Amino acid sequence: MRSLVSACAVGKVDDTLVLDLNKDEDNYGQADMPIAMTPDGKITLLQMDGHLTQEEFKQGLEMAQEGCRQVYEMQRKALMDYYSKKTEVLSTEVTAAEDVKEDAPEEPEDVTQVEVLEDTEDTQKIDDTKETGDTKETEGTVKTGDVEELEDSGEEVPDTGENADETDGQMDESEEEISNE
Amino acid sequence: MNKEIVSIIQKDQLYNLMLKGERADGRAFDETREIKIETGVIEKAEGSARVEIGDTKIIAGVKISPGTPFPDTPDVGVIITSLELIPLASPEFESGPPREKAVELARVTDRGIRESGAIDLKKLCIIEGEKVWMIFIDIHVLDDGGNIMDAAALGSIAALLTATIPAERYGLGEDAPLPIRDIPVSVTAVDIGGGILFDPSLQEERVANTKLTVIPNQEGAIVGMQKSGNGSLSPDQINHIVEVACKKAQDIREKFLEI
Repeated sequence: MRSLVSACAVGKVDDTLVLDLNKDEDNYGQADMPIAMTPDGKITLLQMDGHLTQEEFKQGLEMAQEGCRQVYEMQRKALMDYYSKKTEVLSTEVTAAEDVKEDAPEEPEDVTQVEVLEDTEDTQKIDDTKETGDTKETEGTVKTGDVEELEDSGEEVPDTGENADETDGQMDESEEEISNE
Repeated sequence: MNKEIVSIIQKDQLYNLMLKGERADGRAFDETREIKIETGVIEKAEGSARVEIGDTKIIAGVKISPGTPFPDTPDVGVIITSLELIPLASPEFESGPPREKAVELARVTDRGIRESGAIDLKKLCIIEGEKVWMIFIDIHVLDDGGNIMDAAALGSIAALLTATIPAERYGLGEDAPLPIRDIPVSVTAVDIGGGILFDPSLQEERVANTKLTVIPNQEGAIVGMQKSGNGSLSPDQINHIVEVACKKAQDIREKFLEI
């Protein structure tokens, strides 16, 4: 997996270009153009029906790209928040599992423990990237370099979620944002 | 896009040609193959056309009969477009119900006609809520030489332009030409290694990852678009395709079609 794909639609209602159509705008508007885009700006889906002049199309395509960038930030944040929260939970489990292991090392729970550890590492990779890697740039957002960083940073040994309390609230917020659309 | 095996040599050949600014058949990147349109080829249809774009051959027929309108649009006519990829047209086509490729081609053809308002559907109402004219557009691909999409769209609008509403046959007044008020023309391009090639040949279509169809209407506005295939396009490539497509559509319209 190289990166996320984000999608957003642009349309025309009452001769005005609008982003992220709701149902009425979609049904009764003059045009509808969904696009999907990767963070490095490659368009992977493009459909359009209705009526757009060339100028409107150009402008609409730019708006839709900006929409995709916003959605991408939300997707990314939701994943980050979810996994940093999960890391916190898991690390508690790991400690618990370790305790169990000390008591009875032969238990089949060993297997789960390995998985749990792997999980923790994976999720931490993402978190590392957040801190070191890309940033708030809104344009072009994450370059391919980000993906490499993501892989590279796997080497570092994680220390697990400290900010769980903070992120809790943030996640609910971003979930709300998404469901509101 | 085509999942059939493409020879690596062919792929390399097309790519290397593209780097030199050339195509296998000697065309410029934005050059369409020769187009031939013949109308009135099926006597029993209300309208028909046979279209050739290079080696690609399709036949389009229009049937018109009275029917019941959809409950949510009781006062407008109905358009139903279907497209068949019959086995004789290509070793890749199989008989049986339409598959994804045929459905996509039919839908995009339909989109161009519907969204451009090419047919004045209000005029096809006979009795509101009870009886309207139903337009069936059937496209049969006879030989796949690449870019069936543009041939299908061209065939369907050419057939519609020559179609007559058979009112006398149903005791509903006098026969009249189908009310056509716009002429959408589809223009398709593919991306091969970053080069944008218009009116792709079969070979080019097989090698390309991504295809973009743009359908401008007669005032040069876009009424439909469809990207197909797994690959991606940059915004610059898309804007380039749109710009060239609008010009090409106008050329084709002036040369072959008129209301």
